[in-house]
Amino acid sequence: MPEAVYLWVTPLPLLIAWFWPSPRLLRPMLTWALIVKGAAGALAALVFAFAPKSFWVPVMLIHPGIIGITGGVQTMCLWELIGRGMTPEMRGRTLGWTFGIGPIFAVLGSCASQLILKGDFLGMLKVTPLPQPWSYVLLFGASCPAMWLSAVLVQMARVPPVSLCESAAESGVQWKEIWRGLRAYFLNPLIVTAAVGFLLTYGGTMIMNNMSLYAREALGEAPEQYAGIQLALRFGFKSLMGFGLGWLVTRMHARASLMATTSICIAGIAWALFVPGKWYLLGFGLLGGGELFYVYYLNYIVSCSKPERLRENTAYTNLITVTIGVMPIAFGLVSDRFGLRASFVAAIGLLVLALILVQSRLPRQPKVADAGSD
Amino acid sequence: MNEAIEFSIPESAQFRNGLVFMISMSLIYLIAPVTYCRKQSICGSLRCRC
Repeated sequence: MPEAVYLWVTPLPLLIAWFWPSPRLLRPMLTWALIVKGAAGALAALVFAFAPKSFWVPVMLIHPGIIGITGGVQTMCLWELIGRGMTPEMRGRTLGWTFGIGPIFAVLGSCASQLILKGDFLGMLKVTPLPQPWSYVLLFGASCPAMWLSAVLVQMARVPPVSLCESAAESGVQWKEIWRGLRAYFLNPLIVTAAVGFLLTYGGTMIMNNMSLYAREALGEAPEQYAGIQLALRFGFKSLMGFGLGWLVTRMHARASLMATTSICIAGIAWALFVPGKWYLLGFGLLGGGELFYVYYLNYIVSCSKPERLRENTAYTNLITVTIGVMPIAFGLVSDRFGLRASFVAAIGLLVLALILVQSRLPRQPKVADAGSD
Repeated sequence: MNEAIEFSIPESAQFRNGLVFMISMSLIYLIAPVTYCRKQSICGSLRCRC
């Protein structure tokens, strides 16, 4: 149910982008999203601490709704910030550092949450777990200072001056402008091609669940024994490749990062298809690194977008990902009928299609195209 | 991005923007088990998209 709530609110950040398009609102919008996100965590913690248990279910439904909206606004605004406020080269460097360091933070967060809830992190670390509700209080409460610290740091950002026509953008739904924005996204051949490549790659990576199911057969023993190694490989590769892909954008071109991430995903699935035994786990590492496709396809779309369209184009790109929800079902149907290995072949097929599309239809360096736009 | 943008942003401002982006994203990942994970199940399975 919380996941459903999260999905229902996915379109709302787009409505916010339509209603408040002015670039002057970038910093306040981002700041407020972070403040509200932090406050939602603090309020949830207070409810877990002091309210009767009957209040917990509504909190578990409302909290993801708020997170879904504020998270969407946060993503939109952060990408607009680096889209407007950085050259492509500096952006490439920033992405390299961010997604090199980011996975390490993800592991730290997961480790802390597992120690607090279960007192055990993959059998490697053991502590006395916190009793309920204090475990929830601590976890939800900790999100508040983290988000508020982020809100304070946003004040450091410098949004470049906007053009006269942009500064004239008014608040409120302007249907003509929305229509122009939709055309600027869906009639721009570079953006549409990158978006289709993005969806094909995203669809291909949804094979991860089937790879986990196949692990027992490939390893010949319980995959749970190797959960720690799997985690280390997945996030180790993600971190290393995060640094490497940023370097690739800076030294080569933006298209290279799309080709690289999609190819790494293909390599990961092909590895799982052909390599048995303990080496099978390396496939998870490769696929973990390839998952950074999300960042680099988004970067390509941002680089193709006019500054005044950055916010809504990021929102459109995030919105179209809801279609990927059908992929686990599709892979499930393939594996039910033809076996798990056949679903791996299907995933590779999608990724190869993405690779051909990107290689044949996208220029090395994206450019802001006028055709099909405003 | 277009050339006008490239030449109008001082390097120090770009650095600050990059720093804001990097720290904000890192904090998102740090609290991912409570917020970013779509299942909201505090599963710690690290299936979050990074």
